[in-house]
Formats: sequence, structure tokens, C-alpha cells
Amino acid sequence: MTKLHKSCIAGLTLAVFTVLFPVHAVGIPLISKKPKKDALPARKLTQRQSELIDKSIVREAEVIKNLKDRAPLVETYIQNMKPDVALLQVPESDQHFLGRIDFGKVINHEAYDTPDQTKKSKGKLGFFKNSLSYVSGLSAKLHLRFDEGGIVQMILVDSKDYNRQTYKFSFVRNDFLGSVPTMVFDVEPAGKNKRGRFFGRIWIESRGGNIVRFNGSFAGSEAAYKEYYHFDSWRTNVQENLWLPTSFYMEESDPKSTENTVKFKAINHIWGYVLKVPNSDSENVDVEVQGATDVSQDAQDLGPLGAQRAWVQQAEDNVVERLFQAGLLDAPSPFDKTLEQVAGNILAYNNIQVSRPIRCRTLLTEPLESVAIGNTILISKGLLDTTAIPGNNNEQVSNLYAVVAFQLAHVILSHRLDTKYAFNDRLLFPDSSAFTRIPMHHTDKDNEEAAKKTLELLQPKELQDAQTQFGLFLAQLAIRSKALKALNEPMLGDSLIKDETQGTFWLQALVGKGPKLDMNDLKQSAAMPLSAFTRFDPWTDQVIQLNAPFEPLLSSRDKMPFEVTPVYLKLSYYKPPVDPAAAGAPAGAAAPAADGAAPAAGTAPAPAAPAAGTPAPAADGTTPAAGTTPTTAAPATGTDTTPTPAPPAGGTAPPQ
Amino acid sequence: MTGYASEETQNQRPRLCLSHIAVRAADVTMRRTPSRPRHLLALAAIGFLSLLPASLHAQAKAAGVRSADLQIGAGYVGAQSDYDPQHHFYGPAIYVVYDFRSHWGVDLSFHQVNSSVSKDVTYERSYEIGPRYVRHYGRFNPYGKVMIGRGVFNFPATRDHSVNVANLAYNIFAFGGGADVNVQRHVNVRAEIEMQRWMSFPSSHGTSSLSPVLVTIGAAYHF
Repeated sequence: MTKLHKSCIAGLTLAVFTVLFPVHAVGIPLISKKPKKDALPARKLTQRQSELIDKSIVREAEVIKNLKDRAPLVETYIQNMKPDVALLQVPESDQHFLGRIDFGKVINHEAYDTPDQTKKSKGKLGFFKNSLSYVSGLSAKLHLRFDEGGIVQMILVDSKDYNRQTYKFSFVRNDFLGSVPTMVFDVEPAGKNKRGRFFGRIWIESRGGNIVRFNGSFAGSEAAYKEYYHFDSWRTNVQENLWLPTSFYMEESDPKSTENTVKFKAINHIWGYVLKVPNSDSENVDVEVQGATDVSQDAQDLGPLGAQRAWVQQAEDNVVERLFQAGLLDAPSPFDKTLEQVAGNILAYNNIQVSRPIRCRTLLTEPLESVAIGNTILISKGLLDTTAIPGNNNEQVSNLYAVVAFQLAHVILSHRLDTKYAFNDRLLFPDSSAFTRIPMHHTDKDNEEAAKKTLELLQPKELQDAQTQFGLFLAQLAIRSKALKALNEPMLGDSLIKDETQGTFWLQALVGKGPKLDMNDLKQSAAMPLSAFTRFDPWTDQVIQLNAPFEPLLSSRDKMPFEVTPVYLKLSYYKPPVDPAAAGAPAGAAAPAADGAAPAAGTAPAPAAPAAGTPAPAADGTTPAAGTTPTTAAPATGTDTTPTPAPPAGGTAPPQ
Repeated sequence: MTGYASEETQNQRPRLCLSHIAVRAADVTMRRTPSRPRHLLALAAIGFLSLLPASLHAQAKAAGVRSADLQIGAGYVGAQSDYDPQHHFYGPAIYVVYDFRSHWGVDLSFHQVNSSVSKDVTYERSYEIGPRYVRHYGRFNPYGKVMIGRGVFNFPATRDHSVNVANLAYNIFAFGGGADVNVQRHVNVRAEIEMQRWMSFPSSHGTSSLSPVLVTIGAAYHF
């Protein structure tokens, strides 16, 4: 019996030791490990380098404070990739997250509700469908999945302990990112407990000691249980000496791939810094319209129809304003004028008059969707980017005609908003419920009618190219739509896809009108990668047209339609907005500075820019400025978008 | 049913005497453990309490997480029972492990160990459930667990143990530890040792418990 108890104690002790002390920690020869060498080269920092690091620690605390106070939005779009013989790699599936930074002890994430999450199947089989989805949800738990809270960590080097005690720094070199001089350091955790600590490379700008870029990963991955991924995080100079996270790119290689393909890649955008904490200047701005005369005494009363229209307009304005407050719409941007001009052109070519002017705004999310809220047309950033085909034949404008025409058809057919939103109490809900509380998508019947009307609107000979070009776009989307379900799932409005299972579109009639899709034809571009045409200012939420040079396609692998691509911002320092009254002569104000600095945000487009910047009046018989996209005056936030004289079209290729 | 003591059994090494077998109703409550098992409990408690997960000290949250882990497996058990120390017991085992956190989970086990003596009807069957703590080091996943459950003992009657006289159930608790090794994406191999304590088990050596030690080798499908 004594032997038995001894064996019990021995066995129990063995069990506890097995768990308490991993063999590698006590260096048991069974699984021996060589002592780990220091990853960073042993090189002392100079005083200047050391001072810059100390500055960056202070500045990083300021960034964290801003994130805590301002709770910006974060959008993540992930594409899981698989190898492809012809194209190297193609998307296999995708996921989309949208939420707000929620900063407790460490940075976290509060997701926006989507309609899918709140939808429950009804009807005879509803119980079984809901049970099945519960079971499949359980099954999903057993596999590695992306965690939004973990992804959000990548906007900061360390949300708690970025300091000299926790991290070791090693100088690499001096470098320029855009026009910003930086010092580059390699960073790794100093202590023994490295789990969750950053290791990689950071760029600190030399003037203010702000971190402007960092890439690497967090230590402590446990394969198949808890994984940290590699990322490249960028910041922009949104205000004086304030660099805030703007975008970051995530990627992880596929270790099993022989072609060096990636397992997945993801793009993340951050914006909405002033939504919760408005700019202190905004309250003190005096609005004075030059040359206006007071005609309030002459205002006419509204008749019954006028009152009805005003009531509908109020509902629409309330919804648009609410969506803007929730961070989903851009601030009024110069680029919106381009879209309004496109809408005006369509009406002009068809000799249609509408009771109120058409307004356009951009949805700041990636999923491909558009919606008409009364006379306001919203188009998602993802749809604008992927239709921005560079070329000499106005391919981009043709695509925009088709996209805008679909929603214009809803406007013309009077598919209007529920007027209940004219009552403001309907809009008192948390921002995260915006998608579920303001469902804006049209019914299938409305979309069918609008699709027929769109084909009529695109009949004029000036818009024939829109049919062929957009047909080609849809043909490309048809190939990718099965893999990119999240990209085609609308959050607010109407998808291009009519039937997911059959892969048909609302504008299916256009598919046959386009040329045959040929991935090997380098002169044919059906759709662009994401973020090809626009980016937005994370502080003002304005949409900005990129001024990217033409990149020649060398093979079909360069096309990457609807794919995520890395982030690479051309940084510059913040320049405060120029007071238009003090600008002097318009030509002088518009002239680019010698050092390529961008003019201020929020200023009107330079009068020297072509008339494409102004909306064409409806049905006035003037030839619309077809095929032109304006050079918008770039804002002052910290990316360098040097204005150029009016190009023929955005990012066009040189003649071949 | 009352037992009887045979002459032969009285003259052998102290072992379970049939006269000590008592027919009891199912006892669903745990009795107070004697002092030695209390020490074992304390040791196990200290072991588990000291295993504070490293995640409490972690900085960034992981971007890829697995919410839960499930494996269902079977194995072969060898047991050393103090009921019949001269011979070993062998038999099958089935286990289901559900880890609902990265380091914490629930283990359900079934063991059936039969005497290795030919025609001996003696067997020990146990059904257990309990929490487990696991660490992950690449493919190697050591764990420790504390189990409670029910044990069924099949007592022999005749001298050659070929006929059973009683089949009784007892509350049991157990400590164990081992390691799961990921040999393939969906296959884990396990080696485990477990010390069971069968409460109120009639014993001829003064203590009212049976304390078999079980060693299991198994394989599981990892979902």
C-alpha cells in the first residue's frame, strides 16, 4: 500500500511537471535548444538617434490619447488566396469587418451590426435553418478565424508599453517617405516575456519624432491556435504635429506554396477622427456668401405638392446626415461634383428634367454597392476604385455612366425613401446600428424596373460606350463573384448582383454587349484592384482622387481585378488650409508650390481647372464635359498629391 | 446480497474479502476524503493555480484565433490496480476533449480495464468528466486534468474469478496528465497517466478506497 501511494504521488508529480515546466524551458537534453542570439546587431545609438526615440515615445502617447478620445472607424477587408497556374494566385474567399476603435486597457474593437447578423430565418423551415446555422457557427468556432480585435492592434506599435524598458532599438538608416525625412529603426522586445510585443521596423520622422510607418508582427504565435500576422502600418499628418493611423496592409505567406504565394492579404482603413470630437475651428467658422441678396421677404409659400416634396427632402437629408455622422459617408468632396456632373450628363443626353438637383456622395466602404436616397446617389469607394479603368477611350467615365444610371433610374421612377425618417427620433440610435436601422436597399421589383430604365438611359449614342465597357466589367465580376462574396454583399444599398447562386446581375443585359473577356490581352482592363483611384482623408473624411502615374502591365498577373494590394502612401507634412479671401488672384492661389506641396483642404477647386469640376446644368443643351475627370485640389493632409495640369482622364496610359 | 469469506481467502495476502462487500444504494455525494487524498488535492490545486496563463501578461491580442478545440479519440489503457496487484488490467478507452479557451477545456473519458488473467471476470469501468489545462508548444500540447465520475467494479466470486458475484458503482475522482501531439492536421496522438480514487470501495487493508493507476495511449480526430 505504501508502494501504491508512492506511485500515486510520483505519477501526480510527473503530471504536474509535464504541464508546469516545458522541457525546453528547463533545457532537458530530450529537446535541447541552443541559446537564442540577439536578433539586433550590437550597435550603440548616437545621441541624436536616442533623442528621437525618446521623442517618439512621448508622441506615441499623444496618438494613443487621440485614439481613445476620437474612436475612429476601422474597416478591414481580407482576401484568402489560392494558387493559380495562370495568374499566380487568385482570391478564394473574403471577409469584411467594419467597426469602431474601443479603447479599454488595450485597444479593441466594437463592430458595426450588419443585416445578416440580425436576420433570422422564418417560415416552416426557419427553425431548422436557424439550428443549422447555429451548428455551422459552432463548427466555425473550431477553426482558426480572424479576430477584429486582434487586427485592430496593428494600428499601434504597443497600446500600453511603448518605451525603452520594453523594447530595444537599433538604427538602420536615414530614409525619405514621400517628402518626409525619417530615421529607420529595427525594434524588438527587450524582456523575456515577448508574447504580444511588436518586433519589426519603424520609421520615425526627424522633425517631430512621430512614428509614421512601422511594419513587422507581434511575437508569440501559437500555430493553429493563436496567430499573429505580419502587417505594414501607415500614418498621415492630419494636423500640426499629429500623425494618426490611416491605413495598414496585412499579409501572410503560404508556407506550403512552392510559388511563394500568400495565404491571405488584407487592407485596413481608418477614418472618422473628427466625428466624435469635432474640430475646434468648425464652431467659429463664419459663412458669408459673397454677392448674395436677402430675398427672404419675397419667399413664396409652399403649395401641397411643394410641401410633400419638401417633406420627402427632409427625410432624405436626415438620413444622409445620419449616415455621415455614423462615419459611413464622405464629407462633401470635390470628387462628388464629378459624379454629379456624370448624372447631369445622363439627364441631359436623355432630355430628362428632375424636380431637384441630383447630389452624389461616396460611401466610404469597400463592398461594391450603390443606393439612391431620394435625389442623393451614394456609390461605394470600392465600386469607384474598381471601375476606374485607365485608358484613352474614357473607359472610367463609361463605367461611371452605367453605375450612376442605375441609381438615377430609381430617382426617375420615384422609388423614394420612407418618409418616417423625416422625424428625427427615428434616427436616434447608436452608430453601430446604422446598417440595420436604416435599410436603404431597394426591393427586387424596384431593381428590376430600374434595370430596364437604365438600359433606356444608356441608349443615346454618347453613352453607347458605357454599355460595352460596363458589360466587360460585369463579365470580370462574374468570374470573381463566387469567391468574393463579402465584396458583393451590400451593407446599405443595392448590390450589382441579382442572384448569388446563378451569378446574374441586375444589368445582365449589358454583359453580352461587352467584348469577350481575355485575361491575356494586356490592352484590355476589365476591372481594377481596390484602392486604385481614390483614397480619403482620415481627418476630414473627404474623398481624394489619387494622382498615381501609369504603371504598365507586363503580364496578366499584374491585372489583379478586385484584389487587395499593398498600401504605399507618399507622405508629406500638414499644411493648414489657406484662407480663400487672403489667397489673392485665383491663378496665383492655384499654382503649385515649387517644392510640390499640396494646396489646403476644403478649398474650392482651382478655377484654372477645367469645367469638368462643375456640374453640368440639366437639359440646358450645352455639351457636357464628357470624358473628363477633374484635377481636384488636393487637401493638405500628409500625402503628397501634387496637382498636375488637367490630364485627359484619371491615370490614363500613354498612347501605345 | 451478503457475501461470505472463504477459508482460502482468509489465509492469502490481505486483499478484498468477500465478507466486506456491502450492498449499497447509489451514493451520489462525495464523502470526505481521507487525509492522504487531501494532500493530493492540495498539490493539484497548487499546480493548477500556479498555471496562470501567459495571456494575462500578453500585450496585443492575436489576429487569428480558434474559439474552441474539439477532439474525439480512442485508445488502449493499461492499469495497475491495488485490488489485484499481481496482475495488470487492460482495455479500451474513449475520450472527448473540448477546449473552450486556448488553455482551458473539458475532458470526458471512458475506461474499461479487464483483468489480464484468463477467464477472470474482474473489471473496472470508469466514466469521468472534468476540467483540463493545456499548453501549446508547437505540435506538443501537455495538459493536466482533474476528474470526477462514476466507477463500476465487477467483483469475482469463485476462486478462479470466473463468475462474478457483484457489480457495484462508486464515486471516483482522479488526477491526470499527459500530452497530445499533433502528428497531422486532424490527428492527435495522446499519452496519459491517471490516478483514480474510488471512494468507499471496500478494502481489506484499512482504507476505504481503490486507487488504480491508468496509463493510456490513444489517437484522436482533431476537428
